[in-house]
Amino acid sequence: MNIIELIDNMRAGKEAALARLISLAERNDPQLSDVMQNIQPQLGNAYTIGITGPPGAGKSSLTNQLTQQLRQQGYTVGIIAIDPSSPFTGGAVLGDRVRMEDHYLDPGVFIRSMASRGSHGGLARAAKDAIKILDASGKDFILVETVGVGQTELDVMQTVDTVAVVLVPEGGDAIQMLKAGLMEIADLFVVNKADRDGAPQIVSALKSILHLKYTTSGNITKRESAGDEVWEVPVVATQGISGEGVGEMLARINRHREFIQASGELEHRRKQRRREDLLSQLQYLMRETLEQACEESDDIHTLVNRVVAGDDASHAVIGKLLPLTLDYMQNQSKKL
Amino acid sequence: MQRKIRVLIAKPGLDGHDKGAKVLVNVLRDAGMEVIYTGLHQTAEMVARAAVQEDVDIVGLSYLSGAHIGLTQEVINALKEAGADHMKVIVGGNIPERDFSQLDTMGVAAIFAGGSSYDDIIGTFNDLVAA
Amino acid sequence: MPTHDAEKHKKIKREADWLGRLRFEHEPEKNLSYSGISLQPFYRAEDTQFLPPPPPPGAYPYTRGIHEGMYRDRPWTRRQYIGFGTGEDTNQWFKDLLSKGQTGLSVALDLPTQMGLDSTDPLGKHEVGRVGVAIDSLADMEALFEGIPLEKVSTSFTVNGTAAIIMAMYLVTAEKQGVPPEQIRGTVQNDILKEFVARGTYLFPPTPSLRLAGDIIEYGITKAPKFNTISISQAHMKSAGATLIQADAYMFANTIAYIEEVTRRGYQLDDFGQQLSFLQCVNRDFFESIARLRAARRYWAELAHNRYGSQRDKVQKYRIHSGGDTDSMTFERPYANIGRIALTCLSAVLGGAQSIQLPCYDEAYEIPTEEAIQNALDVQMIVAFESGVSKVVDPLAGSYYVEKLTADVHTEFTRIVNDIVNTGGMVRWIEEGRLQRKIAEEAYQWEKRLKTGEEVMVAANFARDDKPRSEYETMMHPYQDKTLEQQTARIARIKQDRDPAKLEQALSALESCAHKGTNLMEPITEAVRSYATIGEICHTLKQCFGHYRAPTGV
Repeated sequence: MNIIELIDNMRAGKEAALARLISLAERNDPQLSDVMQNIQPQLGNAYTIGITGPPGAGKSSLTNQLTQQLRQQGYTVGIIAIDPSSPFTGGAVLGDRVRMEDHYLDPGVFIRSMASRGSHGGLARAAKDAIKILDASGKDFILVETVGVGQTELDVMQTVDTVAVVLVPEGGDAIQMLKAGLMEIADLFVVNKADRDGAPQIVSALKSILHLKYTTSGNITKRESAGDEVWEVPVVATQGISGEGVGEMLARINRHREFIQASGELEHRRKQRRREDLLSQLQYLMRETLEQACEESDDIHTLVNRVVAGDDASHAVIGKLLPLTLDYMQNQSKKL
Repeated sequence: MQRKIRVLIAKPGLDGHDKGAKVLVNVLRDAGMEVIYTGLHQTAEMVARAAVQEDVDIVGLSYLSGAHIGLTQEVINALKEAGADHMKVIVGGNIPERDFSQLDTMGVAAIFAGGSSYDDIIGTFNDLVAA
Repeated sequence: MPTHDAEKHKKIKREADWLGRLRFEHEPEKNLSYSGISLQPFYRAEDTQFLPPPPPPGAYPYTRGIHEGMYRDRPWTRRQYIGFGTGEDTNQWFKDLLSKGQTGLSVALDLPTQMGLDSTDPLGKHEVGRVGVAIDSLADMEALFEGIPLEKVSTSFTVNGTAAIIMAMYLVTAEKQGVPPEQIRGTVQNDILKEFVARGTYLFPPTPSLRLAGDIIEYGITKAPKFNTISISQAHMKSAGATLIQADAYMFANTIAYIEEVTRRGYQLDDFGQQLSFLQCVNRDFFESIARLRAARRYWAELAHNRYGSQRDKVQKYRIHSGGDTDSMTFERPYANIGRIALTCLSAVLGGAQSIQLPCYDEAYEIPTEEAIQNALDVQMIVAFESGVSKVVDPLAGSYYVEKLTADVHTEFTRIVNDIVNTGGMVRWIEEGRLQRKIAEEAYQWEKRLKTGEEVMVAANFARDDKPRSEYETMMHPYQDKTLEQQTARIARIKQDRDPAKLEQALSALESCAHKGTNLMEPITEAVRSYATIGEICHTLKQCFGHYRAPTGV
């Protein structure tokens, strides 16, 4: 089946076509650029929500409940659930679907599991493309769930409109997550399993950390402010299994959406993101080509090896290496 | 990014013994595949829809209660309905040899009765996807 | 690397491997029991000198047995687990077995019955009457026990999610025979927590499931005092992959959850502890099996006494229903399983079990045939009446090895149970998938050990032959295709005959109790009396309790 047919089928609501297009993104298929160019006019209608947090925080249950609420309001939902691949075998168990069983048969919900596949930036690119494909398929909301620990997952979260960071009362999880850079990306915090001991404490601890941040004006970054107004990151308590608090979580998400829409931040973010995407794709491609050059070009190989062996300083070879690699890239790009 | 084999392991019907299914999930992961496990008590429609959305290469069905003939037929029909009859259907678990030919006729690509070796299963999966 | 270096390297590696193996074989800590307890090459008096000698049989903490005379006074109850097709089909089989040496009944129910679905439900249409008997309404239960005097026989039901309904049906059937519930002896498994990690026949989320289990126990205190209202089971968690000792400890952690579900309603363990029974399987490691049963008796007695202040010795006495598990039966050369069954039976007897149910030699294939069930029963009778092991109580007491192993197993129980209790208890472990993950990992490790041959299963991974399975398949139990049809007809009949107003009233009373949080046994019994089907009752309860999917652990 050709790409145009596939895209037409996707728009006509054929799930198999949608699924296959996501697979093309996942495999970085040669036809992918055609796909992305063809769906370009259809983009920008979906609102994307990221849900991240430590393993066992109940993200899948929350995603499930959130989907329930969105469906009750008549919206269609696409879900991307990302699990890490094993660094040793490259295999992965993608287990989040199980918690979303309520929606297995709902035609308004499309669930796709993706593995991180361990390659640098590869998943982030594939996930971003998958989000766009779901957007083009006409889903109103796209929920992206990751286990937020690595750079890749942070990258994915940079591409959604609203980021919910999920924490649980026990363990040192909360502190670890804040250290891992989630404080910066959160548009709202969710303390899940709020019926547990320690939940009120973590809610108030988070609130006071956030309050401190807003009273120290220098810490407010551009993305949080709209003119004189500032988005104060809220903290919501939920119970993913029963669904308690999820209504409030969604209300906060919607308020954030209105806020960034009104302030122009949404448009600003999306523009930034397109630029960021382009440059990172370019960077990814160049890096791949460079690696290839080191393998294939004898001249480049020799120079690189002198630095690898410690015989030459990198500074000394850059002058010779730069024209060689640029030449190589130019030749490669002609082949594309 | 290299081509990865994607597999759906499902437990259709009411049988709740899923040790074998879970062990297989781990075995396939360690063989480098991406494995989605549906959990228990799946209807044929649930299995087919998950297989389609996940765009898997192989759908593995695990049975221990003896209801494999009827349930497998339902899954195969549902896959056909969903436009996913290219997916390879594998049946495993407590499957007597007397039922093999009937499953073959339905279009089951391979059968692994209890006691099958995991190396055989991995090898067959690789071959089926390569073919 | 130049070639000669590579050769040299290989040689060094070979030698290292060989030395490694040698060391491995002589390393004492590599000599482990089945569940991983480290064993010495032999045991001496010094190894037990700090262990207090266990008091005689019949004395607290009952390590040596709960009765002074044990099998000298009364042989264990011999039960085999059967059921298929309709109530009438299984009724015939029951009568036959009772006439051939069986002393109690153990009912296998089909999967729709266990999952709260009527035979007519499309979800279960391929499973009706397959792995057990189909029960849709009181009418089926009446057929199942037609002509069997329920005041004389004790019946065990392997049922969990729908235990309350099955128990109510059984008691109403007895009532119709003229036997009051106070006289009825029997067991419902009612161990719902383990269903979330093994077997999967749960219907509601963990919290309402636990409430329903508690309702059965509470109801039994006054209404059916001779009935075992729960049989807390280790065996299924073992089948799912846990080691035997882990599974024992998980069983005790579940037990704590059940006890506390009832004590929070204002009861003392002494009010209902006598009605708790335990299902603990024995398997493979002969001495570890015996040590586990001995240690479990002590663990329970101490738990009841120390944690719950039990003063009644009847409560502190741990009653074991034991047997093997189907997982240890091989497809290959099924008659080899008879050897396994005999060892299983002997270890359960030496461990002091109160009732025994053995797997059958053909059970790897499908539910057992009549021949295989008779064979398992024969094995039990040979051990009971020919072997002479019943003549002396707890004959292995005083063995350095058995006493030391019993103490080591007891220590492991304490460690694992405390770990679970101190980190939120069993319901939380299940909701978070921690237990499922541990069991799935253990299952995978076991498969790896079988694959490398580190663990031996004769005929399966050791001394295999190439005989095709089909050679043994002639022994398979025939499936009754007509069951679905018969059940469909019976459901239609009862729906026509019953009083719709009475039914309506019973179901709405049930619904309001479910919302109020009061004990559900009375309204369930009323619904059963009005011939509500199992599907109707469960549907009513699901409206209130909701649907739940437990984490899988993978």
